[in-house]
Amino acid sequence: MSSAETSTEALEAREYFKGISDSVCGIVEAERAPRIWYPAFAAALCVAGVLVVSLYILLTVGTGIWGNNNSEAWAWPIVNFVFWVGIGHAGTLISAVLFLMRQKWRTSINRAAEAMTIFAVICAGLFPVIHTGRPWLAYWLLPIPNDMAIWPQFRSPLAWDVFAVSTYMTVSILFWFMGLVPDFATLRDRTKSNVKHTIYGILALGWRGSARQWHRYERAYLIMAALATPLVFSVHSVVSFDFAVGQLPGWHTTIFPPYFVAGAIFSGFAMVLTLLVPARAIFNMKHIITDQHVENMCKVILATGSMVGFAYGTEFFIAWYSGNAYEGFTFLNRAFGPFAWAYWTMITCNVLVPQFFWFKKIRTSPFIIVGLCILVNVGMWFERFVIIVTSLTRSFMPGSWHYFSPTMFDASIFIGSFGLFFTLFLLFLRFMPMIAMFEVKGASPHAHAGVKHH
Amino acid sequence: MSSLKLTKSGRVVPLGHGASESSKGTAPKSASLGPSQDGFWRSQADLDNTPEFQEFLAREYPEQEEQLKDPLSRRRFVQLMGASFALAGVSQAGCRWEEDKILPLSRRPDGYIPGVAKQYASAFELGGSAAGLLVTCMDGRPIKIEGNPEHPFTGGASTSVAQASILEMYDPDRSRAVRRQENGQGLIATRADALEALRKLRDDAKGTRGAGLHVLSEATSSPTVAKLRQEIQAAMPGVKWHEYEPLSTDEQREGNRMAFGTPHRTHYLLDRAAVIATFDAELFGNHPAALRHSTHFAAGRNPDTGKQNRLYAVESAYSLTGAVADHRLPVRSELIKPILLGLEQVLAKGDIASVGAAILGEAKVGKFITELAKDLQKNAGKGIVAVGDQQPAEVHAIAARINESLRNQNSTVAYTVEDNPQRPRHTDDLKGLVASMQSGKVSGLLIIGGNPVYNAPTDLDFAGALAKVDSSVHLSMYDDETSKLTNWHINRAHYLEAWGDSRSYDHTVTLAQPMIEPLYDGLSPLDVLKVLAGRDDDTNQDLVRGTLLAMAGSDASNNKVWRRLLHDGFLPGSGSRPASVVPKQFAATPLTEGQKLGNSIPNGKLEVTFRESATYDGRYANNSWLVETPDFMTKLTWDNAALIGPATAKSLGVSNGELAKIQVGDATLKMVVHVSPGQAPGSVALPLGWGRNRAGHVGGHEDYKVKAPGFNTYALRTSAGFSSVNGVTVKGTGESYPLAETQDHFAMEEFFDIGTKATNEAVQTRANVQIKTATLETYKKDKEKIITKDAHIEIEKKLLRPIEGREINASLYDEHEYKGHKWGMSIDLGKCTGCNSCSVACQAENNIPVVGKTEVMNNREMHWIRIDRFFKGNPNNPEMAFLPVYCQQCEGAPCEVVCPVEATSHSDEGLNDMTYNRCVGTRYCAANCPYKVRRFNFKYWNKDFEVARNKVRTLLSNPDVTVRSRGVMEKCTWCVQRIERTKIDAKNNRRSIVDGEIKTACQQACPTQAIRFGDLADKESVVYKNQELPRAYALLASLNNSPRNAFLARITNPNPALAPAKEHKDH
Repeated sequence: MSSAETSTEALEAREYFKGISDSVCGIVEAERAPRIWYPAFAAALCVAGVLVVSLYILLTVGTGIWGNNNSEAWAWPIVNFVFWVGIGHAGTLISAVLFLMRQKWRTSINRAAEAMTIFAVICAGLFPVIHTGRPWLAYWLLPIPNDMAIWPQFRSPLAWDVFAVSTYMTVSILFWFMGLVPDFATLRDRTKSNVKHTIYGILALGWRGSARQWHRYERAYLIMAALATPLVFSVHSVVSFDFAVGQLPGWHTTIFPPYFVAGAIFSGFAMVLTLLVPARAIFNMKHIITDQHVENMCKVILATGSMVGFAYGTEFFIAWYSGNAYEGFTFLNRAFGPFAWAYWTMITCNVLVPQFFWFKKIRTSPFIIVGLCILVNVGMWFERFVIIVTSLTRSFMPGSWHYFSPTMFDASIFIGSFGLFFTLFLLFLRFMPMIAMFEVKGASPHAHAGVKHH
Repeated sequence: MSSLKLTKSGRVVPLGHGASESSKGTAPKSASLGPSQDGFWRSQADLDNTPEFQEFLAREYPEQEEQLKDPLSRRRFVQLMGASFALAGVSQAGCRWEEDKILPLSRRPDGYIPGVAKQYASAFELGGSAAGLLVTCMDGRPIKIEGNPEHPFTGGASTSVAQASILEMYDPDRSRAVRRQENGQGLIATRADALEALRKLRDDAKGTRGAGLHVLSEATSSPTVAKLRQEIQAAMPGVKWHEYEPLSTDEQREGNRMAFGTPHRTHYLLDRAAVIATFDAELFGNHPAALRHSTHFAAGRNPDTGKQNRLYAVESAYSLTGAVADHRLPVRSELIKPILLGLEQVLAKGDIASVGAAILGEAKVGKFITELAKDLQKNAGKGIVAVGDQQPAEVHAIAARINESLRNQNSTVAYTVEDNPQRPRHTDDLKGLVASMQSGKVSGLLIIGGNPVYNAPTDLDFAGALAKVDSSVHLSMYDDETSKLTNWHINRAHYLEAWGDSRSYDHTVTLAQPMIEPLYDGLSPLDVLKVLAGRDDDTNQDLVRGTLLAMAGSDASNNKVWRRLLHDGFLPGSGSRPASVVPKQFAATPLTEGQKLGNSIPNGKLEVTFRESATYDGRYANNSWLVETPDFMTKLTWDNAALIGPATAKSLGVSNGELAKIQVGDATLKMVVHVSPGQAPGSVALPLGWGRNRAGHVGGHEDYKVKAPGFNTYALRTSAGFSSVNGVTVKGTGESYPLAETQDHFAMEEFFDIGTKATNEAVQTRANVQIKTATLETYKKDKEKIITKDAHIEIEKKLLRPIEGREINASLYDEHEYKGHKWGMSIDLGKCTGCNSCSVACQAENNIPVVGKTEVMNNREMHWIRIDRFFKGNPNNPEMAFLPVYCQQCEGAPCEVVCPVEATSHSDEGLNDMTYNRCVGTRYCAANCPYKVRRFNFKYWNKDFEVARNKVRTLLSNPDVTVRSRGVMEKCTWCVQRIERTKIDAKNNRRSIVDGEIKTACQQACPTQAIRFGDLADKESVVYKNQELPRAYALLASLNNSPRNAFLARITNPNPALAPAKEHKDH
């Protein structure tokens, strides 16, 4: 091959790379965000305001503003906690697990998915703290050395939760930030403003893009990915121990860890799609987040949704097969008792809805995808509701049975947490590179253009 | 520390009984009121109470008037409490560290150690019957009421009403001043004004030798009141004395008058009875001898020693008696008479066929009566036929005749002479008074206690008649419905603030002594009556002392006898001996034909019966402890409801929680319906004592704009239909009304039939597993294996199949080691009558807050004891059983391991301790507790006490128990404070703790001694022996939590001939 041809390819590649940088950095560098961003951000801020007001009332009046009661020691706040932690699984899964599995299609979505993870874990972390009766003392769950020599109860799954979630949070942030470093450098190099130059310069940690830096960087990234991978599985396993370690029929079951992890990935991917399908349209990223990427994610949802459905079936079967009448009744009660509506909502959204993704036509229709993904997350919220609420309302002693009704504040804090999430996410879209530019470039055929004939 | 010792030497006689202190007009101070109250403070207080100053207050600071007038919000609080302020502060500070100033006494009064509780004997009178009490005082404030174990009649147990009566004293809604009406306006007046008005009443009446002056008193058995009354009537023969109680044993009196010619009082000696048959009789609830009955009944329920009585109950609405009965027959109250007449004839003729009454022709009733007759005959002389106050006099007379013919009289049924045999029926008495009032013959009316404007029969129109009285005075603890319409309202001193005396049901004279100086300078009935008697200058103490010492046959100056009396709290040997009576022959009404049990009574012909309720007759409507205690049967709080049986409700088309119009004669009341299993078909039970206008912030008050809980059923009660009335119409309105039931309603209707079926099955299965029951026959036959071979344990096994070869105590964790005590408890379900005494006692002992109707509906009630109520079988005639559930103090406690901050942990004596100030409130423990006995402070429930006018309520707090703050978990601790107190005392005195010395609050209140507490390390202890009984079992044993509490299976003693018929569900 002639060198002219090679240089043409290289030229094409350079233009392609520049195109990526332009479209991704362009969003951050633009004077104004796309028109729709402003109303969206305003709405998100308002909803986050609802959260702030609700939290104020919560802290002044007490947990009594919720529907929790003697039998329902745990209710919506814990449902929300598990819901958000679950959503927070997709990011790390996409970044770390798919990275290790060399799934290159991940590059277009991993940055946004990681950001989503962090924001979801922030929302998740909020709930266990505000859920306690005296949140100002929640730090007692941490093993802080003190002169009374009082330590947390290490046998309690809640103490494990503290470690699991905080570790996950820390690693997720580190992993995310690490991925951002080369892109911050790109932004730094492109900007004409001194202020931005300084800020991006600090964030870029002196990145120069030398071969040695790249070499070290990729090693480190691999190690981080290897570290983060077990966390994806451990966090939700530990969260599931909150229930599995309990004695309650409907909680006390060994299937929980895998079942929770599958559910978490399921809901996380649904959330990623819910966010990215509109985002790629708004920010004109269809050439980067391609239809193929979206389809792949739909397939993951289909797979994990079926796993979750299988788990539901197994639970029911075991409840009958074990001969444990308490367990048996709990499941009959779920399906046919006063909360049957929640159970069948869950089954519909989590088992039936993903089955539509068998069809390519559906996997390629953005509106339908977003609709189905929203339904999946509704279903996943109800899954946690069914596990927590129906089990507690009717446990061992019929004398303690009581129906559960949520209050306005249960709803306002949950909805408010979405406000917090979207506020953070919209800020991220506006001020940070929403796509890992260097990874997309690295994964593109152009990156290997110069070497393909050798 | 001798604080809680029940021995004679341990109890302390309060100071101030000596002659030196008793010259003042008010009750002497009890032991530890703090600094002297002479001089400056007293005169300042007097100045404050002048009408000018009060009016100035009201004019200048209308909104703060209440606070400024509130003597306790200001220096009087400090003055009264002295050192105890600090302790009150400690208890109120709860789990957070609030600061409070300590005001030490400059000189410690003799015999007073701050922080050491003392107990004094006193008495609680309700409806003319006394219960002997021991009142625990902490630093001069009474904080807890218990039965006086040495009292010969009422003993150491106590009723829930007696337990809760202490709350009444600290009720912030109590009237705090005298009020007089002038030109339709209420003006604050002073105690001196009140006494002046009384003197005027007396002096005015003197001229007419008392004519025109009437006294309307609540029922009282006080010998001193009787003496004063005699003196008043001797001086002014024209003075008329009336007595009225909305709930009384009048029909029994009158029945005995019919039978014997004299209105004797009936006593059922349950301890001697082998067969007890009750007819609409509530022996264990609000009966004046309920404690005695319960104790004796339980003494006859010992399947392990083979002694077991048999109880038959025929009644229209569930009573505690019906709940524990071996056989229960729900029939309308109007059918009791024909059934009893039928029983009499069967007893005489020996054959039901020869008794041609329609009601007995019905298979269910016929068989019941025949077998009952056989059983009674077989146990002649050892049987009891008891009739309740709902029934007319004639039925009581029939019962007396049956008891005589069965030779039960003087064996198991005894009669004593009434204290005041001349007194007519209360309703007749009141009717006479109202007639005089209407005709304008009453110039002066003194109403002592009671609340006739609220609870008099509606046909009498007491309020209308009251308007025609020139001068009326009401002595009352609350400025209530009656006080509003009288010329004078005098604030009454609580019984814990005043001297008094009364007789228990067996006539034992019981002394009431003040525990604290009246909080609001109130007057006692003696204060009022002694003015009428012209003995203004005598102190109440001297009056009581004079009467009682005279009765004791000693000189009034005999200090030794008096001090003994103060210590004991009663006059030994003053109970009446049974009178021997021979029934007169009287013609009974023949059995009427045509009366049938009838499962469907046409609307318009329903029967209504009136019942006592949690508020007794309405006087405790403002007592939040009682109002929030779930009814034993309906589990309803904060409301009364019309109780209608499931079949009747279905035929009437009304449902649970629906408002229905109940029409009795011309009167209609819109009231909520509760569909109650076991309620007789065609009969509607209406609990009395709710829907008040002027009770207070709890019970409703028009001035405070507080809507009254419940419905005023007095609106339907006439003097003719005082107990029950027929020809009633019930019409559903379709409107629903929120009911705060603490347990799910029995009939669960779910989305799907399969759900309903599964739920009902689960409840029934669990009822059998959680409340294990066996008949005496089965138990005797197979004693060793009763629990394991019992069909129920098979179900338990099915519930969780044990793994082969696995040891029952297998656990991942090491077993706890015990070097010292190992506390344990046992509850005999065969003895529990579901009376709620334990629950209220627990509330009083452990500073348990009240949460209100909305929060009860949210399932956030705080009671540490939840009495689970199960029904079995046909909803129209079910079997009912109680299971008191509180913390089981598990060895392998599921709560302990899951608490992330170790706020709940195992003590080295086997208790699950709660460290309140370590709790952050994750509520994981509650979620993981299979018994669901943990209670969470979802809000700051004691917030109301921080308002100045409510501060007085904090004085009731037990300083030995932390007042929990918001966001903290709490639960039963088995009264760890009592355990520790006894341990300290034992250690100080270098002795060991005797079995039975430590009594938990629930155990102490329990009249049947179903609850036992003790040391499991002591193999001789009652609780150890109980736990070793073949019928002892652990609740949810299959979970391997190893509770330290054991339940003793409920062993019933049904008549084999009346084996529970397999009735088909007819609804």
